[in-house]
Amino acid sequence: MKKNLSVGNKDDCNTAGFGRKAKDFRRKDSNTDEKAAAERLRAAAETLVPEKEKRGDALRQIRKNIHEKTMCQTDRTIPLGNLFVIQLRHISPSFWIIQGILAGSLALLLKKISMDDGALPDYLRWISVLAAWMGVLGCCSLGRHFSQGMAELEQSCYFNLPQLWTIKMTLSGAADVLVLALGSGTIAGKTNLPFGQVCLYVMVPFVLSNICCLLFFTALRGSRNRYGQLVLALMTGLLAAAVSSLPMEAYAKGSLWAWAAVFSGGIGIYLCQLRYMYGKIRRGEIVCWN
Amino acid sequence: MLELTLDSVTKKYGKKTAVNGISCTLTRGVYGLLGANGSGKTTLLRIICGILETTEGAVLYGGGAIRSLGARYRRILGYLPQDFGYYPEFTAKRFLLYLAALKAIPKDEAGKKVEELLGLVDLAAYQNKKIKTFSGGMVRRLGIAQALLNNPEIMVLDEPTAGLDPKERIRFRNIINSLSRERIIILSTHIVSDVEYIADEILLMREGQLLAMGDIGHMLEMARGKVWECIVSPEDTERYQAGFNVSNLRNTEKGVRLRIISDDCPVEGAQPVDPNLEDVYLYCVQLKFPSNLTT
Repeated sequence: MKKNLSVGNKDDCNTAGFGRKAKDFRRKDSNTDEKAAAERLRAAAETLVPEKEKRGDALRQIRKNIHEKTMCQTDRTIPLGNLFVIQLRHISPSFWIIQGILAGSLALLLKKISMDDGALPDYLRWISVLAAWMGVLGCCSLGRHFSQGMAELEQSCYFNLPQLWTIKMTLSGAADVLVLALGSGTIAGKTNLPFGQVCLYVMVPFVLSNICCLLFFTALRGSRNRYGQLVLALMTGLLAAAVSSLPMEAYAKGSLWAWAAVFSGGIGIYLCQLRYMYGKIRRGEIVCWN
Repeated sequence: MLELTLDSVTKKYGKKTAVNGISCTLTRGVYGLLGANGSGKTTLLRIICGILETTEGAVLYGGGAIRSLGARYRRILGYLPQDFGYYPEFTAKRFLLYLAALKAIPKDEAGKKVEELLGLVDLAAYQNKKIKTFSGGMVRRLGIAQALLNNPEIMVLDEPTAGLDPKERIRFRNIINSLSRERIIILSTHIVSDVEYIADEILLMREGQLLAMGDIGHMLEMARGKVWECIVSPEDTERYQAGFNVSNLRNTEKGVRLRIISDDCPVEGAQPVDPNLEDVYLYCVQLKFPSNLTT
């Protein structure tokens, strides 16, 4: 009759559940050559009946080890799309609150100007200033990685800082553009101008203020704290107000090419700035300032 | 095979050389990085993590430059920076889940891992508390937990025990010991005893250069016969301190017992004693750069 056997060596998964018989067998063969010993061990193993419970334990242990190994070397990753959702969840609530306040203020101001029968510059002045502040807010959200001392740690993660920046910029940029497009649509409706033309007038100060933000952000470390950001908001607000206070001739159809040129040039400069910033981050120049 | 190679790694900031031509190969085990402030430890660790670019040389993992490996390398990396920042409004659990997402750990695995690690660092009871309410030691423990999130093959810990009380330090040492079999752990610290207890090998840095590298036995051997103890009168203590490298000083009934590091017998009647790692550290940092110290 076959005997029920106990576990031999718990650490050795191959012998788990086979027990004393295998162990004794191995001891006996300790001085013979390996090949013959392996052959005899295999033959002996065929006669053994593994203990169900012990074998179950051993298999569970093996599965656990494999699982732990998988966590280390798995090819399973979260999809990039999910990362957008995660970033959306982890963007500070104050960011969305301020963004909401700015959008709400814009709606109220547009309504008030409309009730006062305002002209195009009246609309543009306010929407430009608010657009600039939205840009500052977006930049502040990027700056949080540095001001909270998280940049270094995030740069060492699988999804690193430039990737996080890209996601955040896409999210906050999309929100800004949506609000500004809605604003531009309203203004276009009130002033009987083409939507694209109004968009251009609104987007130029927005792009310029974003350029200022990145410039300020790259050049001055102090820009990453709260006071620096307030100065930045004031500065870009003034810039936007200045742009939107141009004489009426500047808004003539014939000057559209100049607006388009400034807009394209601005986008180009902004992209160059981003490239420069990403290069700095990659080299660790602004991540490790201490 | 798990192998991290530093090949003539050099980092310059303008004219200042922070890390100067460091070459070594690290395999499984715990490596303790010792050196004075400004010796280039943090810069070296940042280079190993791929956060800083080298001016010359490269870090290779499994034969490939970590710069080229990019995200594949970051995936197997766990890092605890010296200045460990956090988003203060996050709770401990949310913070770890956030970092788990950045480390590309799928949500179902992340949840389990976060629970497990919060327990490991004794923060399970505080998982829903905001980090801004944590003490320095708790923040540090959270930092250790995040470094373990992705079960990394390479762990880089910059001053992991700073701010931990003795009990927490012992707990940390035990965690590191239990993890060291499967991975490369590099930790820098000022607390020599931490390294003494857990490091398999010690890397001693000074002025950006690797002064010595070897296991503790080898390091202690370097200072054997160079550590002396003698008893002097309290009046002479200051003179000895000025003239010799004194590693310890203790008042006794007979006078002041000095522990002196010196190539020759510092005073008649001084007895040679067994060196400890602190002696080795003090002995090495006073040396000119010898070429035969690394093993």
